[in-house]
Amino acid sequence: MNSTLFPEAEIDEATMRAVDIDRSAGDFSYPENHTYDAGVGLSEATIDYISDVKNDPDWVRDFRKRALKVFWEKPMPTNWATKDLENIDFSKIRYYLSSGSTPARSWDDVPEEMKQTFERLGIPEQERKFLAGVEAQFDSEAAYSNIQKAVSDQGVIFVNSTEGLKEHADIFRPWFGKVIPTGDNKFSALNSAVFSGGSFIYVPKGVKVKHPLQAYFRINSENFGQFERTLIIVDEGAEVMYMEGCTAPKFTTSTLHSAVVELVAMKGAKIQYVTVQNWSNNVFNLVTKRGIAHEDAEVKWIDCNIGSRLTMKYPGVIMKGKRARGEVISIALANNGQHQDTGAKMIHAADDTTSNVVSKSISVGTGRSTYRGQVHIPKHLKGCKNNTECDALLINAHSRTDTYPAITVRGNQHATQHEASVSQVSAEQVFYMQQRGLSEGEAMSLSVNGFVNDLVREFPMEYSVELKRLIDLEMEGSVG
Amino acid sequence: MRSVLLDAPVWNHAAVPPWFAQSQQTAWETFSRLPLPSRRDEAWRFADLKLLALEGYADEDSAVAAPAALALLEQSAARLVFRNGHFQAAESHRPSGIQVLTLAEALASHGDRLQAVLQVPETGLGSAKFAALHHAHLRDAVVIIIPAGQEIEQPIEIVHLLQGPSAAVFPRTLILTEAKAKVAVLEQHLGESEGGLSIGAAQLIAGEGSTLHYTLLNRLGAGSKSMHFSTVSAGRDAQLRHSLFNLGSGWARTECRSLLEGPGSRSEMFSVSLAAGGQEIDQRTLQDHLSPHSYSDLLYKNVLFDTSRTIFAGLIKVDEGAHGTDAYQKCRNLLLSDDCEANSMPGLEINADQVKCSHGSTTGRIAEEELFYFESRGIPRLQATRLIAVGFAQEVVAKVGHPAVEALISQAVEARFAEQEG
Amino acid sequence: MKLEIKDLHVSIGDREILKGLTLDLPKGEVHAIMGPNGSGKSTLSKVLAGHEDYTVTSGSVLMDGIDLLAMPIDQRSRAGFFLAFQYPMEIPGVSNANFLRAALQARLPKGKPIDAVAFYKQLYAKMDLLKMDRSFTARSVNEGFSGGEKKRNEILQMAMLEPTYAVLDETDSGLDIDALKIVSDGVNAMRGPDRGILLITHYQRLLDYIKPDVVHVMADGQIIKSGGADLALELEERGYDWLTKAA
Repeated sequence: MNSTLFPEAEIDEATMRAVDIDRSAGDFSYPENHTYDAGVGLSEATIDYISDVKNDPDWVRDFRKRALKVFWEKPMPTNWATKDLENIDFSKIRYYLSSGSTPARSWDDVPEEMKQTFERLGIPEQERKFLAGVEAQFDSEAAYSNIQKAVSDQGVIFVNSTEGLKEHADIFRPWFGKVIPTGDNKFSALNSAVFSGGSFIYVPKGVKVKHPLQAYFRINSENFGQFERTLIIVDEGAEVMYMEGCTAPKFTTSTLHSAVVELVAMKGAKIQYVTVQNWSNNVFNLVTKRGIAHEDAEVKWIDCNIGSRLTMKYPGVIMKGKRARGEVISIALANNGQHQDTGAKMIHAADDTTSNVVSKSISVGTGRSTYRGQVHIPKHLKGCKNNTECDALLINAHSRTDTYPAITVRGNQHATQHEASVSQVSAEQVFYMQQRGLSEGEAMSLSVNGFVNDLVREFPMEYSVELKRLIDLEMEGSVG
Repeated sequence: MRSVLLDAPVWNHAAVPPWFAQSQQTAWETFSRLPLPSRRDEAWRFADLKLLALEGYADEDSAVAAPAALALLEQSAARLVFRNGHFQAAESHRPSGIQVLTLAEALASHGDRLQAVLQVPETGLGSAKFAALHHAHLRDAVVIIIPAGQEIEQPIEIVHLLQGPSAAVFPRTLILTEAKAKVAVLEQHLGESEGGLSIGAAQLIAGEGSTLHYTLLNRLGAGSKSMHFSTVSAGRDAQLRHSLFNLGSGWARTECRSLLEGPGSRSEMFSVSLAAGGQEIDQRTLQDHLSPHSYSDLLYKNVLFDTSRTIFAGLIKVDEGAHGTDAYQKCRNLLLSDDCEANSMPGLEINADQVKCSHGSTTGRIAEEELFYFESRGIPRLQATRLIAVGFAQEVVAKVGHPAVEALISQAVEARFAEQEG
Repeated sequence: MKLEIKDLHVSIGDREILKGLTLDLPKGEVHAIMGPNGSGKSTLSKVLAGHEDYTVTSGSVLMDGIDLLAMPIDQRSRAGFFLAFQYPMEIPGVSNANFLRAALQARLPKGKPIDAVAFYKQLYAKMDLLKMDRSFTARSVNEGFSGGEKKRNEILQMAMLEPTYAVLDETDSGLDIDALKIVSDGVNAMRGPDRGILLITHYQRLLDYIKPDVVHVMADGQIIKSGGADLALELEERGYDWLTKAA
């Protein structure tokens, strides 16, 4: 009974330390020491440089070049999105920085600065404790990539995308760019042109990977753009949980992170994709994430967005097979000067498909949270269900929250329900808690944790502890 | 034939104040200058823009057919009837003691006071171009001014009749209630099935502590197209209710912007749309809270048959400083065919503290258990469906608040459902 | 050792509510303040707790010789002052157990974790005394509680936090007779030589169950009369008019 009330009571201190990757812990950088640098700005020459360094097959080079054209042609989505996007200067970004494109298989072979970085972030320790595999990306390329022997013996592939497209082209290529086409949006086109790093995972039929696979994305360099590309294919009846963490130091100029993540859950497969993002507050985080769920399959996005200057991320699920399920569970915390523009897209494309969206946002100080949702149930389907709940918590008078869902339902065989609410932590609530001896910050943290409590439980335990700590940390400076 | 889109209106500006003549001139220029809505306009998301083809309508007098039997209120404080935009004095009654004026009368007696409001009735919800078109073509209007403290017991009734396949009308209603005044207005748009275009507007301005209830019943013919723009503004402690019943038109777009301008003001927005055939009903709303302790509530219900489509886009906006606001919004879609489509976009933009806000949207069909219950009592399925759907709509009808108006609308709703069965 | 309120003047905005209130609550005693609506009873409780809406313009409050008014709200609590609220707040999402645990944790030195086993043992014992169901620990603080449950919860918090001085603001309001007995039993169990309790009430009824040592009558922001437990009965019979007029 204790464990449900105080999950942390079950965890020893070393684990607590291991999962503690708070913002202050992420705010450091090492001097740059890159062997490969594509320079500043974007042109076809940049693409050629990247393709040369990575020794891309021709089809990849062509894919990149076509994508670059699409990127130039696509307008910014500022007809609906924030004007802050216009502050991104694509000509001042560095698109590729690395010390080579082959990751080490052992921490001992990782270059010293990178190793120190990941040690400070606690990655090797986490790997020992509870992970089935780890990939650690430093700027453009993975510095380390390893999978437990027992897991790889089952036929599970866990490599970076460069290796995936070369060594496993037969599995990689049929799905690459199919869930999220290049032209999906301006940033998916940009990623398709300059992508580097990210994970490729294949889980064979019937294999249920017991422990999570984890990727860690680290930006170390200023004016840099990180464009990892992840493709996860889980074959019939197989299951996997993938977790990603992200940090960057605080630079004085902006950094761009623009990933594309494609998930494919074959018949009866299950994918859980967990993100705990803790970017420093000058990162533009513009990410496209989408999964396809085939018959009886399940794709679940569990997403926590803390930090960044602007996050735009709307994980989606295309429910392509009968009885497929899609879920997005998301927590966003927008602190002073930050804008968390998040949401979910649920595309029902087969009978009896079910989707569920639960989104909770907290706006602190001048922070702004936005929820955008899309639920689409097209013609001639039956038995589709969607349930969406969005709750927003405002901490003080300058915070802002917006909710913009769009729900399309065709035909009378379906049921959708959307509910949203906005509430505050009131001064009287804080007074009450203070009278019981809690400081204002503690009272605030308790309220905020209470608000997100039911969602935090959806995260794997190690992450839910970290999340609670991150929230406490964010709330500390928010009062008074 | 002069096209309402292509040819500048022929104005008779001899007897109007210069500012009004100017406003129509400018409106025409605005209309001509503004582009048509495009797919990239959020304000037109999900709308079928092909339906915006408004060619072939004329603003010249078309023949007025013999009066059809009108469904009217048995008792009304005043009644104004218009046929194809022309005021019919013989069918109207306006007792002295209530200021219910035509445009010419209002401009003559209240010209100065109306200058600020008798302008393009822009809602900011996407149809600036068509609001300008409406204003440019304005020939007449109903202006109701209820002086401080006056309470009008019976509803005031306005009837616009649209006749002829190429006729275009531009109904305009302006209602001003002064402090603590009280009035209810029912406006009906009636027409026959062969076509026609109606682009109308209502401006409701409720002064301090006044009560203003406005109901618009659209029973235009299935071949017609209609747009209607409402701008609503509630002063301190004022109570405004805006109810829409869309039971007609092949294509209808309504926009309603409600400004909660005074502290303690209250605004309610209700709507029932019954869409059938290939009809599209596109409704956009804004509840804009500018003042503290204001309250707004919205309930829009859509019942869809056949291949019809509905769009609801509603936004609750709570501006900085509008603390202590309560705002609610609910859209409910009842889908009764396999080919209909309901789009809902309920939105919130909250910029203030101590706010209670929620919105919800549900889309679904009648639950099997519910139908089973009716059937187990011997009621055939088709009839059960109608009973439940009518009940779904009647919940909103019952919020209008005036028994005679509710009865009239209730009958219209029943009749519309009966058409679906027949 | 006592809670010593001396010539306390308190305003909200420009309006003075407490106009020179003086009262001593010695440790080990139970006092009651009675008075008509609007006499300033609730203001007194909020001011002692440190609510920011109220301004102390002059006077002092010493708790065992320490300046209570100089401390921030939470520090007063940790120093041993407790207020049972007239209208306890609802805190969605925060369970009663976690809330109490956080409050107790705040009293421990930094880094010293609370003993969970001992905590629950104590919590359950106090809950049994107040006839509260075990499921209560997992429910959010006061959310969806009935009036009686909220008041019982206030007494439970008092029992867990073991204050030196407690002010119970209209704890009897909204209670039926059974709930009143349970709450009174809970308060009586807390009486002792190491604790001073101040009951603020509108009705004599509560004092049938919790016998006060001293009864004070408050009117227009001052204590206008003090006496023994009999004074409450007299007030019940004669109302407040004879006193307020005399004053």
